[in-house]
Amino acid sequence: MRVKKRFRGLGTLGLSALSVLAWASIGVSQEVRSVTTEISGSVVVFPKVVWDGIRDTIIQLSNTGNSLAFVHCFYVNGAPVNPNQPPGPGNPPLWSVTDFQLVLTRQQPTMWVASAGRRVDHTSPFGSYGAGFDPGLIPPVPLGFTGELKCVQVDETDQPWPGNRLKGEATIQRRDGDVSTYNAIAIPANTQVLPGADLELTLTDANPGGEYAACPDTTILNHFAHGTPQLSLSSATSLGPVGLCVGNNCPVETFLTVVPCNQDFENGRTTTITLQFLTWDEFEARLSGSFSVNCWLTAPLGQLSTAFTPAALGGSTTRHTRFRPVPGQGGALMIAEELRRTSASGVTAWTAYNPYIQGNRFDGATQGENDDPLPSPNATDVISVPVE
Amino acid sequence: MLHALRIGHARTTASLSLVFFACPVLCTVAGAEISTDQPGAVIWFPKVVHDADRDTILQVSNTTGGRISLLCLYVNGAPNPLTGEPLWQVIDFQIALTRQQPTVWVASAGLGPRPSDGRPEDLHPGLVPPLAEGFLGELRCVVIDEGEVPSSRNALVGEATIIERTSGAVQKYPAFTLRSVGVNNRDNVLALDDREYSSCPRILVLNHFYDQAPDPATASPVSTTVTFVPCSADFDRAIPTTTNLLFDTFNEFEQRLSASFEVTCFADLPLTWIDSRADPTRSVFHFAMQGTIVGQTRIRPVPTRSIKPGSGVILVAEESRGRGRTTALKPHFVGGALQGDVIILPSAF
Repeated sequence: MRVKKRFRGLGTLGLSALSVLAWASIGVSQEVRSVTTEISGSVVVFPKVVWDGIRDTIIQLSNTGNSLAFVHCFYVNGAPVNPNQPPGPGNPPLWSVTDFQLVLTRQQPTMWVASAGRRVDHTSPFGSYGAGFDPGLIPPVPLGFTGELKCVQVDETDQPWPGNRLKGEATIQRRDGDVSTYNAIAIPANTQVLPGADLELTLTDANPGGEYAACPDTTILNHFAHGTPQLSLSSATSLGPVGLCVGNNCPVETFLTVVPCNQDFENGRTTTITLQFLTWDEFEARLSGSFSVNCWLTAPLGQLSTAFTPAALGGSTTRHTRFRPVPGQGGALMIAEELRRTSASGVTAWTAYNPYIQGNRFDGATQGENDDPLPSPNATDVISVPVE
Repeated sequence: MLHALRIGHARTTASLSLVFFACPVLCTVAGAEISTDQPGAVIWFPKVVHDADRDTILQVSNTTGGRISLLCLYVNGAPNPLTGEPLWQVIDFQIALTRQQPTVWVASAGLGPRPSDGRPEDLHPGLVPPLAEGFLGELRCVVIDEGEVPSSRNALVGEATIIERTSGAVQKYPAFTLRSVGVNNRDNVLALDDREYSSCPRILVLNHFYDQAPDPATASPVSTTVTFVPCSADFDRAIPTTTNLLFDTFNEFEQRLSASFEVTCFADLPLTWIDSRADPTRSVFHFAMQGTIVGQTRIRPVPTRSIKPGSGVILVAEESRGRGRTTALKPHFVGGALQGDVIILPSAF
């Protein structure tokens, strides 16, 4: 019953209206046809949500439009089956999915803490947690949850809807107050195509008839070599104290979180992809490698490959790394977190950031100035959502 | 069957509704071309700090397979101790990056004229001046070619990391990038009009905690600092730009309040100072006023309705939760500026 309906047969009335739409769009700019962290979209992906007893996650989700937005959200638990063992082929992710539905009024922001969820309680006092229009019942995640949250804009019948009104942020917070925030990754949709239950990520500048924006071809991450000592903040021109890093021996580590673009919530099938990477240091030296992602992955770069350690490339401090799925496999969305340690016992700080992207998987487009091989074009990722 | 028909009818009705009534919303889905997602020909760090407590680590990479040169401009927007107005002092320098080369420097230390780590001279980006203590401002870098004229290569990505020395708190944000689009006429006037370079945003959308709202996990009061930088700048004649900003903030009750603020050159201030510096509890951005923990604020630069350059701004925000714990917030954008902004680079003399 998955039927893709287009605006055919709307007649003169519809065409006129579409003309108005097109005219108005020209007046502003073209529609966004790439995955983005700075424009609202019809699907928003929070790649990393954590509640492990020490770190918890505050989710912020907003409707940027002036009418109601219906939202269908999915928590995907990527914690390993045996939480006492490290993740690996013998200890795969749980991939258990919990879904819930929300309604956001015009321009309404909402928030919740992953460990607490949010009840529908119209008596929440002014200024308390839960004050405001309750968007719907949001379940708390279980202790030990590490995974993603994906929210899809739908209509009142729970069918996916190309409204492009959702935006979000996630703040991962440690018990001692340390915080790191990243923008949710938005997937804009083609507003002139009503999608079915299979959300095809095929919308690009070269394919304006696609449904949802195609996943990126290449993800570009600037990071420090894994475990490299933090750059000294004190210098001949710096009058400040050395700070919390005595002896300039405070390692910086980068953690990468990867979510496959292909997801089948309808049938509960997990996706495995392989990512290739090329990493350059400041001396123009280059290493490459690959690693696999089953369902969901978060790991320090040094664990993914020794190519990310300082020793692998002559000790250079900073790196520029390009990640890309191997041809024929599904795409990936990523965020990064940097962990800085200090000389003081137990004093560390996390900071999250969104990487840059280049090209898209459907067009197989790169800038043509890189020496990595061109991927196979027309790669289509699909998110299958359950629809009654 | 009846159910299916009803759904079908609902979908058709919804389709018509989409076309007729959602147009004002959908039209605004179109994106501002300035980006923090894609490499660009101009890279922009709106907040760089070097003071007694904080320092900034800057990372810049060349994402192309060819060597590029950069013209970079530090602009000190720290308040003049005598007048309180931004200093707007400009320091420019040039560096070069080889194919796919990343580089990094600490704002307080810069990079020396020669490599200090034994690398060949041609792999050293070049001299980056160290910033004096008290610097609070921005950094813009433009890709140029051998003739020192702007180039259309969308090669740059970067991140800024602001670290508090005493608490160890750290916040990181990706640099904004302006992509070269269409025809680049290679003069020193960069038109941010979606014809030469991508435009600045028409509306910025910031989700934030209302000031002094309790953090739902730790109950620490949350405060937000915002940094605005006008997109237009005349570095040739050293004329700073003034922009008027309108704010609409929505709480979780769908209630809207508004405010306005004027930015000249550079502004870095607590969110509540936008409308109520003397008494922050009376600000539309204060938790005591709004009663919900979070809000969504839309910020619109007011077009000047003249032939002057546009009034676009870019924004980064910093959220603080006590004990020196901070994180950077990146805004979302809606549409491209209706009036093109202009960056005029300094002429050679």
